Amino acid sequence: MKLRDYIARRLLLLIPTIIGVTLVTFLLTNLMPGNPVRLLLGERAASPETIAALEAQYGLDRPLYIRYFVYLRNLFMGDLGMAIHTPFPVSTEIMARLPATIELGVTALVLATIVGIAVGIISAVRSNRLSDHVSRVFALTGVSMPVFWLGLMLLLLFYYRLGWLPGMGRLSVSIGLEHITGLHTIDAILTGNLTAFVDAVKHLILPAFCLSWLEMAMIMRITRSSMLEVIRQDYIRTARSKGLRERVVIYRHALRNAMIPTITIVGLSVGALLGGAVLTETVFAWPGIGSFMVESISFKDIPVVLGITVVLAFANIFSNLIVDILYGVLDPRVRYG
Amino acid sequence: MDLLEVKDLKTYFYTYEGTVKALEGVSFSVGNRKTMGLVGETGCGKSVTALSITRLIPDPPGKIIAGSVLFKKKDLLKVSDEEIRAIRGKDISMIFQEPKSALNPVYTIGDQIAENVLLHDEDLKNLSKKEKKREAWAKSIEALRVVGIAEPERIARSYPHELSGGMCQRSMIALAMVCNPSLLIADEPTTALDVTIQAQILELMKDLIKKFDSSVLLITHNLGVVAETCDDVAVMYAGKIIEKGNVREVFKEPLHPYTKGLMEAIPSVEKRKEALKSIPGSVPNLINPPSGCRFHPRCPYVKEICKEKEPELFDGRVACWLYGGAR
Ligand SMILES: Nc1ncnc2c1ncn2[C@@H]1O[C@H](COP(=O)(O)OP(=O)(O)OP(=O)(O)O)[C@@H](O)[C@H]1O
Ligand SMILES: [Mg+2]
Repeated sequence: MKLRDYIARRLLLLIPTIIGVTLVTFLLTNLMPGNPVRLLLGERAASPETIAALEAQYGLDRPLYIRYFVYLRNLFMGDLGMAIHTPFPVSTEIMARLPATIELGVTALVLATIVGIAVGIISAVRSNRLSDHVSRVFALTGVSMPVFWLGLMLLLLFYYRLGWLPGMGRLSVSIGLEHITGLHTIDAILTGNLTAFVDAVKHLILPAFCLSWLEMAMIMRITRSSMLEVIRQDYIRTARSKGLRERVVIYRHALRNAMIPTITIVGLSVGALLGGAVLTETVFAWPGIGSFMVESISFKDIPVVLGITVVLAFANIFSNLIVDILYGVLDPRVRYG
Repeated sequence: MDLLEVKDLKTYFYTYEGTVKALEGVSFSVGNRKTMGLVGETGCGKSVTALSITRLIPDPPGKIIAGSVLFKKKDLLKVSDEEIRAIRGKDISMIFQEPKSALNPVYTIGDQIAENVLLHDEDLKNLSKKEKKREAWAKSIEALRVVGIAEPERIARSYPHELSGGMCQRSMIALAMVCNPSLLIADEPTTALDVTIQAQILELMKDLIKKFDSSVLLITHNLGVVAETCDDVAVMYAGKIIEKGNVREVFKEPLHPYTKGLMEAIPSVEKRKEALKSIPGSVPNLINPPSGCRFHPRCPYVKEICKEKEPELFDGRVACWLYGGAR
C-alpha cells in the first residue's frame, strides 16, 4: 500500500510542476519579439481595427498576468485553447502529431536502451579489449556530437550520396495506409500491409538512430562503468564460488545490480529524447510535435508552444515516476517515502 | 593421502607497478576431517591462497603460474572449467570476511542458498521444475535452522540489508554447508564481527565441522582462533609458508623468529604488565621482495646466509637458517 500512496503523492506533485513549467514558458514566449497577430496576417497591410479585433479574440489585449491565470484555469479544465497560426484547437493539433513523435521517441528509446545496455555489458566483460575500445570511441563520439549535425551528416551520406534510405517524412506519398493508432509501423502490422511497414521502418531508421545515439552512448557508458564496479564486489566472488557459470554470474548476479544506475539514465533519457526530438524532427521533416513546436515558435503561437510544453512536462514526470517504481522492483533496499 | 595437497603454488598479479609475486611456492596439506589454520600478517597472501585453490583469482591481473592443487587426487589446476565449477560450492565451499557484502543485496537469503542446492544437489535430479524449487527452498530453511537461526522461514525471506553481520555470516555458513562439502575454506570468517559474535560463530563452525565430517582451511590473523579451533597450522610470510606443524607443537615451541614474534604479540592476562611486543618493520613489498629469506630485514637473528640464500622448509617444519644447512 505504501507504493500506492507514493504514486498518489507523486501525481499530486504534478500540479506545482505544471504551474512552474507553464509560468516560465509563458513569460519566455511573451518576451520573444514579434506580435503573433501581425505574423499571422503576414505582409498584408491590416487595418489597426482588424489587428485589435484579432487580439481581442485571442485575449492578447489583456494584461499578462490575467492571461496567465485564464490560461491556467482553462488548462486545469482540460482546455489548451485555440492555436493562432492554424484554425484548430491546440489539443487537436497536438493529438494529430503526437503519434509521430511517440513512434520516433519510443523507437529511439528502445534502440538506445537495448543497444546501450548490451554494448555496455560486452564492453565491461571484455574490458580493455578491442570490442571495448571500439564501443568506447563510439560512445565518446555520441556524447560529443550535436544532434542536428549528426542528422545532417546521416542525411548527406545515406540519403543524398548513397540513396539507401528516405530523407524526410514518415511514409512515401505513393503508399496508402489506414489510420488506426497513428503509429505507422503498428498500423501497417494491424492491417497486414507489408509494403507500408517496410516503408515506414525505412523512414524511421535515420531519425531514430540520430535521436538515440546520444542516449545510447550515455546508457552504454553508465552500464559499462556500473558493471565494472559490480563485478568487483564480494557477492560476485561468492556467486563464482558457488560454481555458477560465468554467464549466470553476469546475468543473474551482476546485471540486476548494475541496472540500478542505468535505469536513472534511461529515465532521464526520456526527457532528453523529447528535447532531441525537436531538433531531429526538424532535420528530418518528421511531422511530430517537435517540428510543430519549432514552427509554432516562428509564428509566435503561444498557445501551441505552451500546450506542447505541458505535454512534454507530463511525459517527463511520468517517465521519472516509472523509473522510481522500477528502482523498487530492482532493489529491495529502496523504500518509498 | 590428504584431502587437499597444495604444492609449490605460485600466483602472480601483473599490475602497472610491476609483477606482484603474491604466492612464491606455497605448499601445505589439509588432512581428512582436519582443520588447518593459515595465519600471517595482512597482505602475506592468505586470501590469494584460498582463491587459487578453486581458481577464483581474477584474471586479469592474476595468474596461477605454477604448482598443483591435489584435491581427492585430482589436480584442480588441470581440470576443465566445467569440472572445477562442479567442485565449487559442492565439494569445496568458501566463506568470506565481510558477510554483508558477500551476499547479493537484491536476492533473499533463501533464494541465494536455494540457488546452490538447485545447482549441485543430486537428490533433486528427477523432480519437476516446481518440485525442485520447493525442495531446494525446504533444504535452505533446514540449512538455516542447522546454523542456529531461530526463525529460518523469516530469515530466508529477508534481504541481506535487513540482517545483522552475525546473522549474515550464519547465513553464509548455511550457504556454504548446504551441499555438505568435504572442504570448507573460511577466509577470516569472524574478523568483521563483534567479539561476542565472533565466539558464537567459531563455536558454530566447530560444531558443524564435527557434524558434517568436513575438513577446513581456516584463514585468520588471530593465533588465538587457531589455538582454539585448529589441528594444524601453517604460518605465512610474504607469499611463503615459513613454518607449519601440529598446533600443539607449534604453540609449545615456535621455531621461526617470525612465529615467535607473532606469539609474543598475542595479548594475554599474564603479559598484561609487560608492554605488548610487536614485530618491528613492516610487510615487504611483493613486487621487489628482499633477497634470501624474505624475513631477514626484520629478523633479530639475521646471519649472512639469510641475505643470500633462501632457506627451504627443513624437516617440513620451519624455513629458517637457524635450524638447517650451515647451522
Ligand atoms: N587483484 C589483485 N591485484 C593486484 N594485487 C593483488 C590482487 N589481489 C591480491 N593482490 C596482492 O597479493 C598480495 C596478497 O594479498 P592477500 O589478499 O592474499 O592478502 P591477505 O593475506 O589475505 O591479507 P588480509 O589479511 O589483509 O586479508 C597483496 O600484496 C596484494 O597486494
Ligand atoms: Mg585476505
